[in-house]
Amino acid sequence: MKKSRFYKHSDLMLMIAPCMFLLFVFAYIPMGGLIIAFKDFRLSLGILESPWSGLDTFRQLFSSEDFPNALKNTLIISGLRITIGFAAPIVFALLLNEVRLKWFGRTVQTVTYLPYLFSWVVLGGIFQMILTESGPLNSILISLGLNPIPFLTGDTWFIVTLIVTGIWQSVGYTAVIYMAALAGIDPGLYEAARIDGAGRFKQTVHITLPMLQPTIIVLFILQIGHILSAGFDQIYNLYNPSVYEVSDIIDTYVLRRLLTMDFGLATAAGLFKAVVGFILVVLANHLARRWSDGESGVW
Amino acid sequence: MLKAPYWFAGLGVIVAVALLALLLERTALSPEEARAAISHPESVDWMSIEDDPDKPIEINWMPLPRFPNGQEGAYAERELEERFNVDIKPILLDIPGYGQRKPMLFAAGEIPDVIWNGNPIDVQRDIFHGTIRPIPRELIKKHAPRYYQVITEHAPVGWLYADYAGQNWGLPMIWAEGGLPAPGVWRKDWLDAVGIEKEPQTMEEFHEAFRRFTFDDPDGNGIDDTYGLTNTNTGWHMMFSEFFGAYGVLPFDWVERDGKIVWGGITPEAKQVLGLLRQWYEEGIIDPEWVTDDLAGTGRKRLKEKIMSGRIGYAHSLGIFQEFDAESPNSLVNVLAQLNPSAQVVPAAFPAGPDGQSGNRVWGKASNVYVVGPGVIEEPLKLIRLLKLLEYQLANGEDTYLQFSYGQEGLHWDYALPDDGSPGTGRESGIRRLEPYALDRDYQREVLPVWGIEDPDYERANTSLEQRKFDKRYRDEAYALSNVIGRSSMVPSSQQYLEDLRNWQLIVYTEIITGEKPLAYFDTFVEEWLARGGAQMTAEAEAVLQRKQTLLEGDAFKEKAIQ
Repeated sequence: MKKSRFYKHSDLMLMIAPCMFLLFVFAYIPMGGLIIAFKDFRLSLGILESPWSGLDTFRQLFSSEDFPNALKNTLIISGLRITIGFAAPIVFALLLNEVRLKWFGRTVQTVTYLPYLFSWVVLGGIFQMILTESGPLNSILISLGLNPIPFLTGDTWFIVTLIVTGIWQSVGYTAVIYMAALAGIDPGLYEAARIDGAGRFKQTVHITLPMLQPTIIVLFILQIGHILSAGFDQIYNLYNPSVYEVSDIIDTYVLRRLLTMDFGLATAAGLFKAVVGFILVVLANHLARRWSDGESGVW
Repeated sequence: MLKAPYWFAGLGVIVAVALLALLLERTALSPEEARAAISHPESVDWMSIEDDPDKPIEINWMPLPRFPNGQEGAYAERELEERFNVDIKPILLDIPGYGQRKPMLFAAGEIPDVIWNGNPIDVQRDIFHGTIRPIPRELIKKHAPRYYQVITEHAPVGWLYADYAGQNWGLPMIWAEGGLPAPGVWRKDWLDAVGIEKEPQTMEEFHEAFRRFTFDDPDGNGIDDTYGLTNTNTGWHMMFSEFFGAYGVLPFDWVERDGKIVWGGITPEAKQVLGLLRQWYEEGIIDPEWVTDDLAGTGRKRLKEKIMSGRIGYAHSLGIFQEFDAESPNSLVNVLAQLNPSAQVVPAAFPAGPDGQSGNRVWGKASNVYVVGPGVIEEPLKLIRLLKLLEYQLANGEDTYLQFSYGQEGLHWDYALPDDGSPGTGRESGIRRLEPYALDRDYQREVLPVWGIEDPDYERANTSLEQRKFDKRYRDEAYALSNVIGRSSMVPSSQQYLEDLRNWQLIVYTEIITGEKPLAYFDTFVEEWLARGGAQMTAEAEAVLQRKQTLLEGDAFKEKAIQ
């Protein structure tokens, strides 16, 4: 049976083959390098010849000061992104869906989608210009008789800046996914609800949200997998020495270790991140399936 | 897949990997194994190799990463290539670019023949990874005796930076100005305004000036908007360093106490200075913005702004000739003359402590180390040619030295005043770049000295009289305080602990000064510092110090008079 299915879809298999090949070459083969995390790695000896060192690297990783700190920062920043950042595009998409003027809705959608296309290298420069102590935003605050706010240098304010600018950048993009799901809802359902006397709000709560649920869950599961990625591009382009303490995340740690040629520590940190992410995704998917009786979930 | 939970397979893989790792569990390399890992089977009988000048040699060269605008084929490179029948392939980068490129090149196995290393720790990392090869000291003496002599005379600690496991691994370089301590500067007009006639010399006098700057309205605007001083809490190497110097201690370096090496930051003297700074902060004479100002990161720009705009009356480390150079449009005195003509600045003295000690931290004249990759084993002439090339620049008199350090006289540079024999003309007027090479960008592209070596004697001889006078008066080498082993990162385990501990120390010091933590917390800090790797570093530092003593007092350095 298997054989016949393979031949039946042989054209599709052929089409997917190049992708699988690329995935294999660029995602699976490099995974072999993960053994560096368990080795006393020397460049001159290479990956295979370097002596094994068991869990030494991990011990060193967790007994150092900066990795646990980076882990903590990652969890805090990611936690805030998921709690606050996750709801934002849903609310935004729902609001946009209620806009009656179609041209206005489309304009807003385009404008909010736009930042997603910019690299953080560019955005980082722009935000640094706007948010410094002598920047335009603080000039306005000062001229209103308020104290300037250390958006980029205050420990708490920097996190606020990260979360808010992060949402600003991605809200339009994520909302598009929800908009697509919203467009797919059967208008008949709303009609029936209206006949039953449900107002706009009731329609949203009892029809829109339940219909969006699968999309929300899928996006949530994907998000959970990234809980240990707190947004490298953004942080790397915005942070500075005065906020290293609160903004050093696993990814910046890995980069730093690579640059000091501590390949073992960098690999161990990266592997740790990947394993935790993997476990969380599997777990979230499992729970999603259980709660929805096998209807939602990514796989 | 149907019955067994599908995710169980994934978890199984992880558990299996972890178990495998446990099975393969073993401790880190023993010292012997570590030594074996860095020793290389290939060996060259260096002393028996003679140069064959007719054989063309190609050298991949990763120089000092300060030439982002440089390009291959600049004047100095062309000259050397022609003279020594070599083809130099430079990899010209800026510092961040270097930091990213080096690990990439090394990991890809494309190790250049000559590699610049900014720090002894980088040399040790390269040795650890087995990517560089030793350079026998005898070989240097044979092919580059003058170079050997210059280093030994002016910056012998450079040999320590290049030393590991009893072998020499590099060619140390010199940065002549690194030996001169930099004092702070006063707002002279403020000193006058608050009635201080004699420039402050002692800690008490400094304190008094700071107090009056803060409370006696030195700018006379009737508003309480001035402070005595500011500082940095990000740049460990200059954090209140002259005040620690007054108590004879460098808080972020290794110092010697009763013949033992100890981290300056945990000494009773450091606590004493912290107590004092804490009191100053409480009095309100330290600009509270020092906690957030990134004075180390933005160079001196912000610091200069603060003293020019009249927020502070004393700024650390600005007492250098470049800031007082009447000829330079960017110097502090000239910018100040434009922005605030009534203001005046003068270099300060180094404050003297209760025991009469004073001085400021210096990096020392020994600067970076060049190391060589495995390419020199395949083609030993690469190293020989390299040494000859280096020797040539130093051993053939001042003109040759200047040619390779500054370019061609009369084309790329000239003396500021032509030499008519009177004092202050010719070499004594200092070197000035000529158009169209005056800008760094053009100079790097067209002239570009390949080495980062300086001969302090030649440099001095070609420094303007004015600068020499300035340096003699304000930057006396007698006030230079330096790490007893040159660089803290000489200690092998510093790779693991130094950065973390240093950052933590910066935070603790800041908290103690601002009163967030009581002064008594210092004792807790000392205990924890030792427990968190400090004790291990100290033990290793002791060994490094002994190695320094045997190395610098050994036979190798008794033959200073090599001709």
